[in-house]
Amino acid sequence: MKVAVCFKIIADLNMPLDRDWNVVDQGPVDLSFVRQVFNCFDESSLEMGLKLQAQSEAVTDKIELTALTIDDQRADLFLKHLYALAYDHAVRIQPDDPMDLVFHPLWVSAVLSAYIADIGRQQLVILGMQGGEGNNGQTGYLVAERLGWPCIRNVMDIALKGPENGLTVTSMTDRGTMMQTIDLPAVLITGNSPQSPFLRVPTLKQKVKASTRQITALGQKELGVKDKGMIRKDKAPAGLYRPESSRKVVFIEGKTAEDKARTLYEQSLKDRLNQ
Amino acid sequence: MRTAIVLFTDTPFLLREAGEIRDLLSGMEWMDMQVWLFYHKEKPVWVPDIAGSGLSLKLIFIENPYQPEAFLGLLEAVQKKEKVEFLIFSGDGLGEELATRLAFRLNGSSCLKVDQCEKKDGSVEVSKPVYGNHLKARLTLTQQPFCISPARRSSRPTRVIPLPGSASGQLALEQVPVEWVKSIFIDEKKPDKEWVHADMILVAGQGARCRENIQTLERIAHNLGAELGASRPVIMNAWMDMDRLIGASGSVISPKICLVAGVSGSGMFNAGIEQAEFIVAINTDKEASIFKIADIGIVDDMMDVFTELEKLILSDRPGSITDREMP
Ligand SMILES: Cc1cc2nc3c(=O)[nH]c(=O)nc-3n(C[C@H](O)[C@H](O)[C@H](O)COP(=O)(O)OP(=O)(O)OC[C@H]3O[C@@H](n4cnc5c(N)ncnc54)[C@H](O)[C@@H]3O)c2cc1C
Ligand SMILES: Nc1ncnc2c1ncn2[C@@H]1O[C@H](COP(=O)(O)O)[C@@H](O)[C@H]1O
Repeated sequence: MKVAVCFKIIADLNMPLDRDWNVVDQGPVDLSFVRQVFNCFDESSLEMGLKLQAQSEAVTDKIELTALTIDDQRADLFLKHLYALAYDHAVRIQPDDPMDLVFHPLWVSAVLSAYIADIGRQQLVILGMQGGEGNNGQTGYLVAERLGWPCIRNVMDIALKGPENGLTVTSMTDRGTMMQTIDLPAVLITGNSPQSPFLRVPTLKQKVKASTRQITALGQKELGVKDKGMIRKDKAPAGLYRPESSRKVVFIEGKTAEDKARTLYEQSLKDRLNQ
Repeated sequence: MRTAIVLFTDTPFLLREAGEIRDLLSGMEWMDMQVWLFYHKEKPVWVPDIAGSGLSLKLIFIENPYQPEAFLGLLEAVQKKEKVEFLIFSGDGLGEELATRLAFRLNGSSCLKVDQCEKKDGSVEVSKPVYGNHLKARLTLTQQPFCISPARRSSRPTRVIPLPGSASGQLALEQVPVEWVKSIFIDEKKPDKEWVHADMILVAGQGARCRENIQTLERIAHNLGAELGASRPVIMNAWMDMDRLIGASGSVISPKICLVAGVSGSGMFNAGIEQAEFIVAINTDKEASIFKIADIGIVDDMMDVFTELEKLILSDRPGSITDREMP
């Protein structure tokens, strides 16, 4: 079985200070000076891929695992990291226009599904439920629509179901945890997953071994997504703005934590608690 | 503009989801509004009151409520007849999936997590959070039908109005078979979301450092008469249950008092507490972004501050027992 995990590298948005957000007409915002991290849901997806691969070795043929991202060279370091963690293929597709990466899930999904259908030929695709820059939350559904495959959202865990290519998928719903046994092909969209919260860390030995492996870098043209005009735009940007915060913090001073707690209680909480 | 609100009666949070749509649409004049109401178990006898009476109602029976593909097939059939220009879905996962996939199938435009929307010259302009909630983007939807779903907010649930006896509105549609699922099992446990309505909520972040401290905080919250919620890392470390997650991908709360500690204040988290009336933030790092959305800040160790606060509250409360047992 072939599996593709689609991931996105994002700026660690816990970091930027206020002054960095002096915006900018329509974006994208330059965040190249900010530390880059795996999008948190994609970290779970990538870990799920590794668990599935390990499971497959015992049950059936070993799963062929591909990590796939559309990005510029900044992603190469992360792709190497995934080689070190036993991903079989690390593929990067170079975008023509960085703006599309953030705000145009119709385009992102077209490029991802072109790779999956024509080159990678995977039977299972795992994506995250939301990327931290565009906050679109749409790419996974659109990949499913483009490939004409069914999809499951809010996935927490995946397991192989015997040797005949079926899967058991655990997902979270409003009514409780749902377990489905499904046929492939399918698109799975990862939500908050306490079963696979983080991506494992490679050993030094694994890193050294991976350092010489080549990343497959492709252009949009090689995917047949030559012309941006081929993919319709369903919305037009009308500006970015920074919402105002109406609060101004007042710090409580004091020598010890106990002093500060007392001031907080006396000055701000006591009356409110008695209301 | 011919508009339809699409809801599913069997979801446990129907009225809150309807409330989010009502709040999104408030202040706008929406002519020609329909409600497309899916049901699975029993035919509904009431509907959420979103925009007063006068809505035209379509009742749609769904045989397989677990598969979005089944909903989509029915939605396509209804739209073929009704030809609405604007569809508003619920802000939960189902609504988001349907909005995106239906728009794709109909060559329309879709946008999720919308926090403002406006009609403009035959089109719809929306605003939604981007860059981890640090910025907002305004976008003009360009292709009909426009399919959107609202950003999560702490909306009051709507009231309900009885289904008018005459409003049959029942559509007879062919169900869409879904064959790729071989078996399905649901461990029915409605998520515990009642706690989000508490007047005081204490929120713990990764700064809590370990499960033992979270257990101590559970006791302290209980003694303070508060509920305890958490940021993503606390949940991912399995220190607390998933139902307690706060933020853009968890619950949005608006208590009278929010005590938030050991949280750095990422935009995705802040989206969950910004609507609280009064926010006290406790963090060892004076530069932490959480202070940008707080009324009161304390730069210190969260456990020390809370331990003292618990003592003060208990000593002020006549007859209270220290170290009361957890329920
Ligand atoms: C698409 C997307 C969606 C997301 N959705 C959510 C969401 O819904 N909810 C959510 O929470 N996150 C969400 N996140 C993750 C979010 O961006 C942050 O990574 C997360 O909120 C950080 O949690 P934290 O503040 O607890 O941890 P950290 O960022 O690690 O911060 C810990 C803080 O504790 C302080 N601290 C340390 N020790 C102490 C002490 N002894 N006393 C007091 N303070 C101390 C530190 O100074 C630091 O500021 C999402 C991210 C993405 C990309
Ligand atoms: N540039 C990209 N390259 C690969 N996968 C992506 C990219 N952008 C988004 N995705 C995938 O789509 C998911 C949802 O992103 P979004 O729809 O932008 O919120 C992410 O969690 C990724 O799995």
